[in-house]
Amino acid sequence: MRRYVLNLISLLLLGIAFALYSLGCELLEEPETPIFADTDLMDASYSAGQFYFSPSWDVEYLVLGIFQNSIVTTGKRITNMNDMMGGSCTGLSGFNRGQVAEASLYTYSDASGYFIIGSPYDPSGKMYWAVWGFNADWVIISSSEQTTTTFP
Amino acid sequence: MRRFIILVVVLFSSSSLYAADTVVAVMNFFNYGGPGLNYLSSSIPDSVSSSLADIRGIRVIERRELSTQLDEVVVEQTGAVDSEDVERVGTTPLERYSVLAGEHKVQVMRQGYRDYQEILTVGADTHRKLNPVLIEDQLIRRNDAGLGFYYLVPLNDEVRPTLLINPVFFNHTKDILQMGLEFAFALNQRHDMDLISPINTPFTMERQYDLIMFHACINVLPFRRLRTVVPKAGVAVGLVHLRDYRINQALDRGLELIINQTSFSLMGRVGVSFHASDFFGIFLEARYYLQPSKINRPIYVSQGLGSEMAQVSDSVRINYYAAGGGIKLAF
Repeated sequence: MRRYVLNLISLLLLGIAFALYSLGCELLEEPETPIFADTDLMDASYSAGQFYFSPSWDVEYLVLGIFQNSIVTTGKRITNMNDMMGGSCTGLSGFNRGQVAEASLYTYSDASGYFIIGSPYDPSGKMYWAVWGFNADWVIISSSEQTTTTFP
Repeated sequence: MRRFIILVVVLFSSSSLYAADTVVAVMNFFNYGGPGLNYLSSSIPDSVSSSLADIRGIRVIERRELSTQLDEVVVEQTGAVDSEDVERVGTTPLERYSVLAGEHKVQVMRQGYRDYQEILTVGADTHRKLNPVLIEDQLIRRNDAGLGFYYLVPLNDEVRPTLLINPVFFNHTKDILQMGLEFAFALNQRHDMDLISPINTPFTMERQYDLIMFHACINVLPFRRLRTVVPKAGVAVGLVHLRDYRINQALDRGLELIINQTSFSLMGRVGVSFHASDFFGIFLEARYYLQPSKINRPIYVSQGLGSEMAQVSDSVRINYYAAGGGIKLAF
């Protein structure tokens, strides 16, 4: 009887330990982090040649940037814009709020700090990309996490 | 006969509405002829006096009263007293002063006190006693406080006019000098900037200043005698605290403080006050604010797609002129 009770207690303790471990695993899971500090996280994904993102209502202007290296930011500034190869933004043809086709991307010129209109960009290989949004006052208020995608 | 005798007739008349008869005194003749006519020097005046006494509207006075009347004539002729123009006749206490019969305006003045004025009707051969009580002049030595509103116009094309509110000022006036302190502010003074956005499109960044001013003033009221309409001119020195905001709806209040700074300010003004009473008045004023030093006015430039716009330091001198008015209460 005593052994039975001890086994029961041991089993209970093991259960508690397992539950705590499971909970700990959940807490330790790495959270999604927007690329810019102090901005709201914007969901973004790539599927079948389409970039999808869901900006909040107060985002007025959006930029999709595709980088050849990991995106590095300081505050609300990307410090390695020379690694940006292409993308699109609000106002350009083919850019829809919430969705951009891979075929509608433009080549980025680091010299001009803007896309080269009339020069399409076709990403290939392992690339890093993110979407960020400005409000009407040109303050970056929302950004996605950095996503790594291998393009065909 | 005329050649030898001069008849001296002294007539006194008054312009007063209340004036009674024309006063006449007939003096003795002076005989410049032969001694045989001396008897006429007194007999003819007696006859003339009798005749005049019967005429309505003429009052003949005794020759012995003439000295008093002549005193008045002398005073009149010296200009010491005039029925229209006020002349200084002496300082109080003035024991006795002779005037012509009729209506006279008496004015007693003392610095720091309100002028005493009275219309005095003096009959012939009468005495009037005057005991003026002077009241301290609330305009010349007074304190006042009030508020004003001005249309503030910056002398800079990029800064928009706005309303300058002077919610409280305090002045102390002594004689023709006035010293004061005042506080004023102007909110929402727009100074928007036309810029290029990170995605290469032109846009207008909404900016605004909030101004808070403290000034110590010294004014001159050059026309001390004026009571109802009082012009003034003055200068002031003080501080202007300026807060520069940009509109940023991402923040709670929708305003992002960019910079705040304090600088010296000089101000000149001219104005006029209208005093409805000793305790209440309104005023109109024009001002010019001179800022001796430039103020910082950061501008924003695009840093490209991957960044917010960067702030770049810039400075500008903004002088203002203002026109407005307000009310004030004296105490």
